[in-house]
Amino acid sequence: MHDVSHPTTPSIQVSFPAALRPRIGNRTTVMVAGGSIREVIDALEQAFPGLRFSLCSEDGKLRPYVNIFLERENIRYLQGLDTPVLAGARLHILPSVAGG
Amino acid sequence: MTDSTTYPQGTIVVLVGTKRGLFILSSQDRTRWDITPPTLRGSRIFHAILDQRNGQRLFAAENGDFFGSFLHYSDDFGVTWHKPQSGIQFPEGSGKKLTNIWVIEPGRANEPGVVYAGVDPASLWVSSDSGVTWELNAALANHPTRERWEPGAGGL
Repeated sequence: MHDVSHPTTPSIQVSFPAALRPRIGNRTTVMVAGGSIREVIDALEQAFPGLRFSLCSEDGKLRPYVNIFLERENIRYLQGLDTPVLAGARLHILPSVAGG
Repeated sequence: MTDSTTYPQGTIVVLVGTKRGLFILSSQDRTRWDITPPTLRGSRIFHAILDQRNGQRLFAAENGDFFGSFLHYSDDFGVTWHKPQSGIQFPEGSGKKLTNIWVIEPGRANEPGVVYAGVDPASLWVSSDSGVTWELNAALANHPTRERWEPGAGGL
């Protein structure tokens, strides 16, 4: 069960794929705060300026081959960037498996 | 060859962008070549160029399939890389999204800080501080005939 603490508490764990880790100080995970995926991305951008552009294009939409999972659910099949995120949640950023 | 931050005068340097990073080839005699381990490893490098007007600044255009397009620069032949403070990104609401950075070109000798970049969708970007900040060239972006330009891969 999630801890519904104040949304400014950085209790959401975001894990990153290897390709993005150099942009977050070579860490694998980051703890941030936010009440939605969009707010989590805002918090990531604040902590690591320029990171948003790796996840979203200029129109604000998630890049086509970038997937964000809230626990085991792809946010594309939830409410996209407006998907609510509770304190204590775990997010996973994964690139699509593409190519031939 | 190990990473190098300088090369002796007269060295021939060739930059090779690949889908797996940027290789720097160097030679004193154009017969035997040293090849560095790839820098920007794992990145798809469309273009790279060395600007020798102000020191030795190396520029590289990364166009990834997943996480977007970025310009990088290095002052030590790829040992360390930097991203612009204000990079090549279209303004929100412009309706344009950066697809690829195609070419980077240092300006004339009498404008040592000026660097140009051509991107897809077709537009020209200009830096006047050796790549630290970039601005869209509005004259081309807002040209009245733009909509009638024959579209190619980048909209030209």
